Amino acid sequence: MSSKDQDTVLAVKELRTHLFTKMGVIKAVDGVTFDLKRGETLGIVGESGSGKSMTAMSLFRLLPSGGRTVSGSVNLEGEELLTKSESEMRRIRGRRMSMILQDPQSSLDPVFTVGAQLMEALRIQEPAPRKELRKRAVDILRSVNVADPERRVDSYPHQMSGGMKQRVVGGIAISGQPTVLVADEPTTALDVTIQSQYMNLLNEIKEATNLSIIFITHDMGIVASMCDRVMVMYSGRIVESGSVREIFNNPQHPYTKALMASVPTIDRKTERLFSIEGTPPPLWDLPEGCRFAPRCPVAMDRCMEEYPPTVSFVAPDEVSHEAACWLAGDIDHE
Amino acid sequence: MWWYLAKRLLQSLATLFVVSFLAFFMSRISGSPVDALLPVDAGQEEADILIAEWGLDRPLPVQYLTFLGNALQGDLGEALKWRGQSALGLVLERLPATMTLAGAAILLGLVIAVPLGVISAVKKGTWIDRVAKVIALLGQSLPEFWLGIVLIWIIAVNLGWLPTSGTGGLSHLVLPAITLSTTLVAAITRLTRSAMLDALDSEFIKLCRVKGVRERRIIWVHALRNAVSVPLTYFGVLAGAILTRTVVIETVFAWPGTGSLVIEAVLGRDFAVVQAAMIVFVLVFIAANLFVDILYAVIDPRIRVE
Repeated sequence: MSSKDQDTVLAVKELRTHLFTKMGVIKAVDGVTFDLKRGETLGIVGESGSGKSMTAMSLFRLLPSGGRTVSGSVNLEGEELLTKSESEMRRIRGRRMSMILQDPQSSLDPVFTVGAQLMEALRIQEPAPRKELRKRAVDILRSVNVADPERRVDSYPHQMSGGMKQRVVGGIAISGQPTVLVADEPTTALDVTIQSQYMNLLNEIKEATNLSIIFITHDMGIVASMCDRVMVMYSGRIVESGSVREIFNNPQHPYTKALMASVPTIDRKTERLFSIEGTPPPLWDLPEGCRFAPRCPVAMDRCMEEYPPTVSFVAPDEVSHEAACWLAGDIDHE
Repeated sequence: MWWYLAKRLLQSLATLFVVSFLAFFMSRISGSPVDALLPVDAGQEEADILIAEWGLDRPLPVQYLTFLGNALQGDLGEALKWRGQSALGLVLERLPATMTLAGAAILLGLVIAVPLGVISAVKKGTWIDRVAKVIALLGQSLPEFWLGIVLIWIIAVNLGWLPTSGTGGLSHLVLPAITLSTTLVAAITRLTRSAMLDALDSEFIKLCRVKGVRERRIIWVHALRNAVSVPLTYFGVLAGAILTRTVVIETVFAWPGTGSLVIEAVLGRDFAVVQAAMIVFVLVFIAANLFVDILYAVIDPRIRVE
């Protein structure tokens, strides 16, 4: 995919974000550790409620009310973010770390023109005269392939198609030339054709800027086409991580295997899609042992009592492959 | 835009027609003005003279058509109680006082309610939110005439800070304006709060935060501009309601506006003045709502008509 040099732009260690609610403490992110290299695209997959979005929002320190990151470390290019003040964080958001939100239909403010919203972002990054900002806004719209940018800059979101709005949102995200871009299920609301156009656009931007991308999704197809590495999350923890090739060809964790089995393939004829029995455990009442154990087809007594350690494998492509399962490593043979 | 305005104008004319009908017949339910105007010892002949002079001996539909015909030419008839003066003239002469009072109440109400609603949404669940809730509850449930009398008693009579009633400088305006604004404060605070909660919860606010926009700007520019159409809708209704409530408030505070004129006219069974006042009130109400509709379009581009 892209040229990969080895310097780490974002290092997250033992990140724990809890939601303090009336029902009790919800451990939405429960000890997440990962690195992101320059120019790398890291996929985070998992079902709703697995903590993918909360992990992303924790990086930005934009948590919903009741949410607090209780421990851990988020290090962006050598700077610890968790100890920064709110005004320092505001300077990082949009400039060094940016985000594309899920729904393009609703992530633009309906009462301002898209130009005004782009210019607002540009002005925060670097104050400049209106005319200059406007010119740059038009340039950004052109760079994300919005047709007729001189006219479109004065359009309101409701006058645009879903795909075009998504491009504008993408334009806003890259307007500050960030180092890290987080895309939180950016294609869920788009139809398939627009989706693939958008993927191409993201790839182009990535090639041009050597951007590092964290791609949150539950679409394995997108992971395969976009990402270098994948992290699988379940109930607030990473259960498996590795290169896309390894995860697809040699999944170790039963949950990852189940996820793979539920992806339809063209060469496997199936009457019904495979689905994982049961639902994830409620996050305010997690089991003591492995969180997937109650749904796991190969669970043992031990799985119910003790959380499994993370096992590392040496993968053929030398990208570390890790899985948190008692059976990881020999699960292939059973 | 012009087509839209023309359409609205036609609708307004239809409304006015209905109102003229209601005004005419309702004001006749209260009884004959002749009994109210003549001295107690007046005889039947004197009554008959008046009845003939005002045309009250003709059938009601005929009277209504005459009234409508004159009204179309801008003549709402002569006052019965205040002999020799035109009904419309009397109403218009008193209107500035009422508009001053209503305007002050609306301004005061908005200046209090909008920020209070915004702040209680932002500080949801804190003591500020709870205080705002109590203020809204009181404003909604306390009867205005009662509140007016209590305010007069405490602030004007006991403390002597403000005059009890009548007109004069700004000090005369304070108590009636506060009293008149309570319902508006209550409703607009609550509506602003809930609309702000919705707005603050939306994706575009999240995007603003991701962009690094300052919280103050997010609240007062992005969220408020999106939220404001909700209280604005109700404001159109309230603006009219405030006008009619001046009738009570002006009586309590002896404020010489159209409201107290209407009370005098109703007691004196002066149809002409009651009708004129109703029609003028409705005109103001229609104008207020047209103004609100135009404001909508200014605030929200999605409502702008092609």
